[in-house]
Amino acid sequence: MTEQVQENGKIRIGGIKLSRELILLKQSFSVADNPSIFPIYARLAQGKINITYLSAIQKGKLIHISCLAANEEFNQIQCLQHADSNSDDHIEILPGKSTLSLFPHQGRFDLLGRILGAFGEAHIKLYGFSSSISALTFVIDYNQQETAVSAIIEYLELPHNHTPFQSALSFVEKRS
Amino acid sequence: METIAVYWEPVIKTYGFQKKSDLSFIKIEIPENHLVDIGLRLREQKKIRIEYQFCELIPSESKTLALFLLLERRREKDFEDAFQDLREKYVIESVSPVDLVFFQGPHFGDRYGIADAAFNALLTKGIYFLLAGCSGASIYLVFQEGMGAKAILALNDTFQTPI
Repeated sequence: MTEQVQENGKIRIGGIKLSRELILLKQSFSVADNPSIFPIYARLAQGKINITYLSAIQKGKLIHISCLAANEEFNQIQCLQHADSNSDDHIEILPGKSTLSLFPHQGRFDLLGRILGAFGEAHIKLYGFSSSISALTFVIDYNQQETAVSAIIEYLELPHNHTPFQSALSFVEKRS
Repeated sequence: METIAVYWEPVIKTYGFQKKSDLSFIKIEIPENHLVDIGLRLREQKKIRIEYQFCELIPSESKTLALFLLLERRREKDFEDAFQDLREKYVIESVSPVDLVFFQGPHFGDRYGIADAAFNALLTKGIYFLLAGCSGASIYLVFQEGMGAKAILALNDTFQTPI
């Protein structure tokens, strides 16, 4: 394990990234008992809507899914939900969410513990988090992004040339 | 400036599937106002040099947070010893061994249909995951022991790996 704690007690990371405003979608279903259920990830794929984050857990016969999509897709998501009158397809829609990612995490408990503690002290509500190959991604309220960054930045050492927390400009390449 | 690529391909390219076996799948349920306490205890694991292979947190309906940790099975006892005194305070459960399958591909975080392709490949073959996490450009899937290899075979029908 590479030692990443500086003499000042801060943990060295490569960067922090904040997302734009997102919508949180939640659904629980049993595929085994009800094959006609249209899972949320399938519904979003049908609508060509990207999922930026997803967590899913199986508990008994049920699969519980939470996922995030861009706020700009809100109207289309509502249309997709109402297009099918299957009442078993209940999808909970929670706008005003976002992600805060920091990298690299390298499986370090000191980093994970420090971030959770800082979020706890700052009363940041967590809607989930997940690790990927390089990053830890936390789901928080969009209007708490600034508070969340302020809560953790004092414990982290960023490179002098780190990328901006949020991109000022996104170039979207659409290929057919 | 960042570049987001949006496209769909009939056979989705990945950088390859990775599988880790003989892992411990630990769940710690904490009240959502106990993040400071659990954060402090997790930081202490640094002293015994434990790393997690995958972690995820999922809120439940009753204002509790379920923290899931995947560790190498050989470190399970060290972790459990470190959390032994918290068993009266929090619900701590573990399942071992389990398999972890993870993979990533170009612009997975920007493109639609990736999660649908992955879950469809698995569920239509009756392969059920215990836990799934998709963030960044990565997909992580936790399975009961022995199911990881079957999951990769199923995913290979939908995803293309480099030769």
